[in-house]
This record gives sequence, structure tokens and C-alpha cells, in this order.
Amino acid sequence: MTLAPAVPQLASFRARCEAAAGAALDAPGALHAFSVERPEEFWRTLLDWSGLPWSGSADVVLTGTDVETARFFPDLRLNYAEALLRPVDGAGDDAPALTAVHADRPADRWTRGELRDAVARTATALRGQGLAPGDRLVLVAANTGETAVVALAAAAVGAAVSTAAPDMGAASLLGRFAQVEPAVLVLDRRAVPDDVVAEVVAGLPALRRVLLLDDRPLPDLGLPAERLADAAAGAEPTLDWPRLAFDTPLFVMFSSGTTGPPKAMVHGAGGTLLEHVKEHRLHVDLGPGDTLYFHTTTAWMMWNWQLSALATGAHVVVYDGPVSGPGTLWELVAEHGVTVFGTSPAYLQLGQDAGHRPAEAADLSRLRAVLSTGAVLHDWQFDWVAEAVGPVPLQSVSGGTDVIGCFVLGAPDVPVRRGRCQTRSLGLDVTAVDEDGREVVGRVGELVCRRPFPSRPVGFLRDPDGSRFHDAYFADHPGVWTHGDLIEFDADGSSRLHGRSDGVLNVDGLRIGPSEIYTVLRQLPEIADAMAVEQRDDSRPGSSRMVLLVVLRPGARLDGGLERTIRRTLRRDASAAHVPSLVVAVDDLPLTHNGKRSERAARDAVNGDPVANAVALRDPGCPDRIRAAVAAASAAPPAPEDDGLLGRVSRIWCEVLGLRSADPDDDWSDLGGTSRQVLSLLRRVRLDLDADVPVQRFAEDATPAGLARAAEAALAAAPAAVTVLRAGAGRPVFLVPDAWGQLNLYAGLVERLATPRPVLGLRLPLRDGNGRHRTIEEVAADALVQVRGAQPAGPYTLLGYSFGGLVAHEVATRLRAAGEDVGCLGLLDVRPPLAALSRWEAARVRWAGRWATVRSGRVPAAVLRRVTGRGRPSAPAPGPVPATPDPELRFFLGSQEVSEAHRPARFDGPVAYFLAEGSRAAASRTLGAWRRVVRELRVVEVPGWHGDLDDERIGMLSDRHVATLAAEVSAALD
Amino acid sequence: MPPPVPASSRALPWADVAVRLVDLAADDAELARAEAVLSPAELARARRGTPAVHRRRVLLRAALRTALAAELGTDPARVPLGTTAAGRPELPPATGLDAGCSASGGLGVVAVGRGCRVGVDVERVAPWTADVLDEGWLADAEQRALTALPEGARALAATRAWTQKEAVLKGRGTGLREDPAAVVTEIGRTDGTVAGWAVRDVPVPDGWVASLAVAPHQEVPS
Repeated sequence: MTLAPAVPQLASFRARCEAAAGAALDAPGALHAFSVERPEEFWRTLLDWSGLPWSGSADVVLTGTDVETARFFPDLRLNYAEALLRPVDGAGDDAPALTAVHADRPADRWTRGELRDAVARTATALRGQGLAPGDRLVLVAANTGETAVVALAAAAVGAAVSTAAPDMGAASLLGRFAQVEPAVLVLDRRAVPDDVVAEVVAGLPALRRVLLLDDRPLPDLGLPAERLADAAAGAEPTLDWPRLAFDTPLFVMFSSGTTGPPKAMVHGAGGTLLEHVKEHRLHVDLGPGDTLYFHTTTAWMMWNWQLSALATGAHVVVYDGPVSGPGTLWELVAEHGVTVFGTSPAYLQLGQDAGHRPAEAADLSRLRAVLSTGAVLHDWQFDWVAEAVGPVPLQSVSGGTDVIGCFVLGAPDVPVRRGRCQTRSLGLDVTAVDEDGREVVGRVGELVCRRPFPSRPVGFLRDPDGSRFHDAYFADHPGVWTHGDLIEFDADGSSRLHGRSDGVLNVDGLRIGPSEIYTVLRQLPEIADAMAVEQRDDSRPGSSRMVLLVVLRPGARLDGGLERTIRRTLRRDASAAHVPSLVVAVDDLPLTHNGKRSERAARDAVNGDPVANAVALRDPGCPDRIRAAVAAASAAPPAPEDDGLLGRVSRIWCEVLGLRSADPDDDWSDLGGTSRQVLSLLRRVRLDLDADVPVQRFAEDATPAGLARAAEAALAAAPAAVTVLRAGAGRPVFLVPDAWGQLNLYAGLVERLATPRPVLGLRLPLRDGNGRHRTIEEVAADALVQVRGAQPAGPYTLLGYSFGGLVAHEVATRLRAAGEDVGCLGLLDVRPPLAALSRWEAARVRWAGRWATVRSGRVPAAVLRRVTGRGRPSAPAPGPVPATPDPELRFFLGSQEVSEAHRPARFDGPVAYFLAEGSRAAASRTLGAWRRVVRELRVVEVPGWHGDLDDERIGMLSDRHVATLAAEVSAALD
Repeated sequence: MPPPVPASSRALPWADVAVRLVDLAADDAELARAEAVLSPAELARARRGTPAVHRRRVLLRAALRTALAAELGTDPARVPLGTTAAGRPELPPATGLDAGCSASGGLGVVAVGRGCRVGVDVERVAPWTADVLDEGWLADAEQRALTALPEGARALAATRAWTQKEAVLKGRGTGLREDPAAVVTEIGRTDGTVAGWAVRDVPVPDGWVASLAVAPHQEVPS
């Protein structure tokens, strides 16, 4: 084998251009400048220099300067397959042309002569099946030799080819090919399941024939079907391949964008061929003796690109197997003597991460260049290739399906700068511009191509008036190709890509076309206009979220209801990925002077960045208003929810998942909720709603609506009943729970009460299904039912600490009102509610500056300090503030609030009041309130404080003091 | 698009189980390639999720398919991988394979067992708070053992207890439809037997804990 020539082909081509230009073109950038400033001379020189076969006239090179309409070589005729398969100097009929490598069987090989013969026979067979110039053929198959032969044969006949990978699924295949309206479908059932075949065939009404690459029994598809091998076996090789117009459709490719369904773009034979030959020979320096392997599938434009390399005389290797490890492709490169290897940043990273050293594991001595495309190639990957692969240039190339080639790529005469693409593609006047279309150097701008280029698509399918084509590339800068990428060029011509510039959003790595959002929102009458923009998420560097700006119709208001409707509608009619993180109402959207929407200005505003193109806007103040609206919406609490059980459940749901809002039908795991978080969620539901939802029950319907239903059921089934704290005989002693609804704090007392009587605890829900704290009266009504259920007739004995004492007192008054006898009402340090105090007493309490109140051992000291630190906590419990304050504190404050508001009724029985020593001072100012409503208040002072409000203060119910308390209470029992 | 490549993989030998870590911070191209090997049902399920969930599901499922493809000698897209009603990966019995996967934050784990049932769970280590004791998934003995540990050791021990329970429950195929408190682990142990399953730690980067539960196919302890 011959090695690639030491002098790059670019040198000989430059010499031809210098002759045409009459000037030296060896200064950096000079050849590119010539190529774009004198396009007629450049492209004509390329055509002549390349030796491609053609007929007709090449006198007219270019018909205009408008990229949208200019045509190249209108009088020239050629055939793509002929150009690829012609004998080439240095690559005769015996030279290797195509090697198809498989993971599970030996490679298939074709010399240039054999490949031409196979294509010629297949072309005859396709003609025999009725395929004619102007027809379209669809090819669903893996990247094998047969696939290349079929595509070349179709091109030889003059038909257009559209390829797809076999694993795409019926819906994706039809989404593409329904637009293509193919006459012939070729597929390989070894890779495409039968049901997919049937569905695809049924969905393509214009189809005339199905040809199969496998040798399985022929299916009944309601259409003529045949094995291609059978059809080609007897066929004579025909070489009378028609040379057709330069713009004759060759490939139909697909690309999704910001507007409408996937674009089916038609690339012409001449433009594709000329662009590829230029890139291959001048930028990659491919020629006879070279072996190219570019890792791709048939669904990617790099498949078309690598196929064209046959025109240079290079040997092309294809592979249809898996990448099973970091060594797979390097081994292929070594085994087949690949000189130019094309791959992706992901594959290189795989090797780097795995610590793979390709040069040590395989013989890469023939390899002279590595190409990478498809994503950003990072700086460190250049270092890794240099270290682990060897001193070969790593060329980052970038272009697009839309131009079936590269805008920026490598060059044999330019050094590689890590992280950058080396150079502009010759003949492509590609540059970065700002919003006004002015070229920018050294900073990021919109990638445009200012002058006509041959590989511009001929047009789109199903776009009779060309309006979709126009909108896709020419709406922003008339007559100039706007590609939709952001790029930054340096003065040396090297460049770095910076993602999409159009409205395509990239939210957490998912590309989202906003057009679908706008289409869906059109059904909402409240919304006049909308714009979805990406906002950096500063809490998660490198990630972003979607902000939806909406302009409302007069009279409409963005309340919680409308916001939910927007989210629900988007989720239903688009997908969860289309649901914005934030919805913001704005007065208007940024429009340029000629009325075009400026997503870029909106994005700058939303991100708080300076708006680069403010002067280009019709209303330069618009971004500032958007900025303010977004800031206000971000700071505001979520739109008020209805306070029903669902609303409360949703709020907890959002807090646990860190979301701003939730739809009732959101699935827990769809939103990223983990199993582990389920337990935190259910604990919160238990604390906040008093609803004990079993985890199994949650798993059955893991949505806010399902959780609300489960919580409702749990509330209904809650054992609102008495609990036996200590068994015994005789009339029970009833204990009323504390401000958390708990009975735990009585444990020491229960143990030590000197009585043979049973001790029962009441279980009382302190909040209703809507999360509202029930009043003391309401709680007492429940308590009364439980007490009377456990003990039908008096006399009754009731004990309660603090909040529980208020309830006990209320129950006692009701028992008395019902004519029952209350033998003993014991109040354990029950401070009278504010509502029961006289003005003088209340003033004294405020002066005292502290509201000694209920205490169970469950509140962390820090929480209690917050309570005690703010004096009389008259503020209502904060509402839907995420995460803080602590739910326990919230619960506590709720109990406190209803306690405060309670007005104890008159009780005509005796009351034993167990006054904690530590509460004496406060009681001296307030006990009058109790004395006013009870007949007789017997005060028993016991050691300890109300509760250990501060950690060092030991409560009356604590282990230390409870024995004394128990003795006093026992003595007071009736 | 080119076929999928695992973002990062590392085989961890243990009995007849292959475990790979999956880097969930893949770029667009990688995600697109991963999507290409999923079935329509898998894609549909992935699309139901938020962008981050979508991404995780695609990459994890593709990694699972890739790992299984290596076992079966086929393409990832051709792996006969199904899902039980409870959401557990399922393979035809004839393959003799079983699979499990889990993800937390940017880290995923896939496990493939040959001739055995597997369950795997990975979790980012969450800071310790006493609230954990109140969440109802720790048995009394586990709670006592946890609180006996020095405060600084509890976060890791509690998270490991969780991953061990989850690994067993996922191995059984029930997940949280069974009470996790009923699967009692030995706090502080990185390997041993939990509810009849052989359980051990999977080496993962700092800040995560992962556990693998394995039982012979014929005798799945319930």
C-alpha cells in the first residue's frame, strides 16, 4: 500500500488557484479569502482540478449572490455514483474500495472494480423493479457493504436515497419517510422486526415495491416484494448511468428545528459531491492509499460523507457491530490499516475514562489523523489523544445535516489548537455575526454563511412555495444562511462552537423545540403570545431550566389556576419535558425593528445578562421589564393553591422534591422522586396532616392526587379512639394529649400514678383534612365522644397538661352541661389563654415578654429558642413557605394559636391546678383568669418548670420531678 | 448516529454478577445514541419524566441493554429486556440472566446476574438527622444500633442500611410494596446476609453508597 503523499493535495490545488488568481495565496487565510471572494474561479478551479466526470457546460458557475436562490453550475450534468466509482489515478480496479466489518463474521471486501460491478448489477435490478430518475428510494439497514451498494445503485439510476438505521422504530421511520413518499423500500429484516416492517409498509401509500436484503422467506405485505440478491443475480451490469442536472436530488436528510415537524431536506448530487470532494481532498487530504473509517450509522449525515470518500480513491471501511468497549474501534483501526479515523468526543472520553491506551494496545502506525464531531471536544481530550494515541492531529469538525458537510474543520497546513476547530471550510464564507449582522471576532456570535455554497439544500419536501425553507435559514438575515449555531472565531480562523442559537432549548441536556410549546398554548384563549427561553440554574452550575414568558389577553390573569392549566396542557399535549419551571406574565415580547421575535434578548433578560442587542429592539425597555417580571416571579411564593387536602399534599410534595408546583397527576418517579424520599414525604404527611399513609399504599398511586386520596382514607380510618395507657379496674383516668396530639410525655406519670384504676389516653386529631388546626371546642367535641364511649356515666376523671388541660377543661364543662358528674379535673400547669385574660392581665403578660406554654420533649432546642425568642408568637403560622420553618414548629404554632383564641367556659366543679414552681411568677399575674371560670381552684405547687423550655430548665413531667407530681395527682384523684 | 457507548464502565467481579457504574452526565450526542437502543415503550416511559429523569432513564436503560448485550452476544437494541408490572427489569428465563439498576444523582449502577437473582441500589449519602428514625423504615434493632454509633458514622450507616434493604426488595421485585422495616440489616456491615440474600457493597465514588443483593435463581428468599 502506498502511504498518503507527503505533500498535501492542498498544495497542488493552491498552485492552480494562484494561477487563476494571478497572485500568491500562501499567506495564512489567503486561500480561503480567495475562495469566498472569487467563488466562480474557486469552484471552477476545484471542478477542473478534481477530475470529476461531467458533461454539459461549466461556464456558468454561479447564478447570483443570494444564498437562498443562487445556483451552481446550472448547465453541468453529472452522476454521483459514476464519480465515486470511476478509475482514479493510483486506485485502479484492483485497489481496495470498500470493506464491511462485522462483529460476528469475517469482513466483506470489494475492490474498486468489484464494487463498480456490484453497483452496476444492482442498478440494473433496481431499474427492473421500475426505479427511475426522480424516484425516491428509502433504505432501512445497518452500516454494511450492501447498504452502500444499494445507495450507489439508486444514485446511479438517478433516484434519490434516504437512509435510516434499522433500530429506529415504526413511528420514527414513518415520521421521516411519510414525507419522502418513496417508490421503493429496501430493508433488512435481520435488523428490522417484522411488525415494524408491516407498519412502515402500511404507512407509505406511494410505495410500489419492497426489496429485502435478508434471505428469509418473503413476507406478504400486499405489495410486490423480492430479495434484492435474487433480482441482482441475473442482472447484467449496466454502466449507462445518466448524467443529470447538478441539483438532481441525491439524498433526503432530516433535521428537527424550532418550527414544525422534522424538515425533510433534499441535497443535490452536484453540491454534495463537490463539497465532499473538497473537504476530503483539501482538508483531510484523503486519496488513494488512504483508508477511512468514520464511526457512524446510516441515520447520520456522516454516513453520506464517508461514502463520498470513494471519489478520492480512498478505501472506505464500514462497521455494523457494537462498540463493546474502549478498545473496539481502535482495534478496527489497527486491523484494517485505517489512516483517517472519525469518531465522537464520547468515544474518546470512554477510552480516557477507562484508562485505555490505544497506541499500546493496538498497532496504530498507519493512523495519521483522528477526526471528531457530534459534540464539543474538550481541551483535555486533545491531551489524551496526544498521550495515548500518538502524534496525530485531532481534528474537531462541525457542520450539519443541513449542509451535508462541515463549516469548520481541519487542514493539513494549519497547526491544531487544543479545543478548537482548525479552519474554515474553503469556499464557505462562514463567520460569526452579532444581532445586526456585523462580523464579530474573538467573541461568540451567530454562525452565518454569507455567500452561496454548492451544498446548500435544493429545498425541502412538502414545501411547495419554499416558505419553510426560507424560514429555516433566511428569516434572520435575508440572503445569508443562518445556521442556528453559536460560534466564536479567532483572528487565526480557528473556532469553537457554543451550542444552538435559535430557540431550541437545552434543558438538562434535552433538546426541546419551542414550536411545540407554542402550538399547544394556542388552544388556551387566555394566552396571546408566548416565548420559552432557557435560564441558567445558578444553584446547579452547568444546568438550566425553562422559563415561559406569556403575554396574556386583556382581562386574563396569571393565577394559580391558569398556571396549572398551562402546565397540564403542555404535559398532556407535548411532554413533561415541555413543562416550564417558571411561568411569568409579561407585557410584551422583545421584537426587533422589523418585527421579529428576539429569543436572544429574552434569554439575556431572563439570565440577568446585559442585552447585547437592545438597540435592535423596537422597544429597548422590553428586556428590563422581562427581567423585573422574572425576578418578581422567582421571588414570589408559588401561586396560592387551594387549601384543600390536595393543595396541602401538593405543597409537601413540592417541598420534598424541591419543585415550585406539581400537577395532581404527576408521577413521583417521573419527577425524579426516589424511594428514599418517599419515606421523608410520608413522614411529612404524617406530621403535617396527621395522616399515616403506608408506603405500600403510596406506591400504588404515586401522584399528588393519589397521595391525597390515601391521606384522606388514612384520616378517615385514624384510630380516633382511646388508648389504654395502663390497664386497671374501675372508672378510668383520662389523659388528654398535648399540643402535638401526643401522649408520650405522660409516660412517667402513668407509670407512677398510685391508683388501681385504668389510665386511658385520648387520641385526638388536632387538624382537619385541610390542614387547619381545629379549635379547642372542636377537639373537645371529639374528646367528649371518646370519653363517653369509654365510660358511659360519671363521675369522670380528666387530666391534661397545658394545651391538653384546656381541652380537658372544655370536656369537663360539656360533661357538666350534659348533667354528668366530674369527680376530678386536673390541670397540669395550664396557662390561661390570652383571650381569657383581662386587659390588665394581658398587658402584664406582654410585659413579661414570654409566653410559657406547652412543651413536649420533641421540639429541638433551636426550634424552641425561635419560639421563645420572638416573645408572644401572635403571628399566625407561616403559610406555604418552602422548607422553613420546621413543620414541627409550624404544628406547634398552630396549636398555640387555637389555644390563644380559646375562651374557657364556666365550670362549676372543683379543679386541681398543679402549678410548676417555675411558672409561679407568671401565674401570679394570670391565675385570676382561671379563678373567674371555675368554682374552686385548688393550687398544688410541684417542683420543676412548665417544661424544659431552655435545656437547663427541668420540667415538671421530667424524670427528675415526675414522681412528686404523680404523688400529688394521685392524692387529688377522686 | 453512532451506536451507544457506555459513558464509563467498570466491571466488578463478584460471583456471577457483573456490575457497571454509569455516568449520568452524558452529553447530547451520547444521550441520542443511548436513545437509539431503547424500545418504543422504554422511550415512552423515559419521555414521561422531567428532563433530568428522562436523561437518567435513557442512559440507565441503555447501559443495562449494553451490559446484557455483552452477555448475550447481540446488539443492545436486540436484548429481549422487559419490565414486570412492578417495574423490575425482566429477561426471558432461557437467557439465565437477571438484571437490576439504580441511580442517584449523577451516578447509575447496573447489575447483571448469571444464574442468580440480583437487586442493586445506589444512594447518595444523605446527612444524618434524627428525623430518619421517625421515617418508619428502620427496625427497632437497627434504630438502636444506629443511635449507638458515633454521630459522624450514622449518615453512611443509615444510607447503607437503606441501600441494602432496597437491593433486597428490588431483588424480590416488590420494591416499596413491601415494608422496608421488615428487611432487617446489620448496621455497619458492608457485607453479609440480609433476609436470606447475600448482600455486599459495590465500590462507588465517595459520597455514594451502593449495595448488591444476590440469591440463587431457584431459591429466592421472600
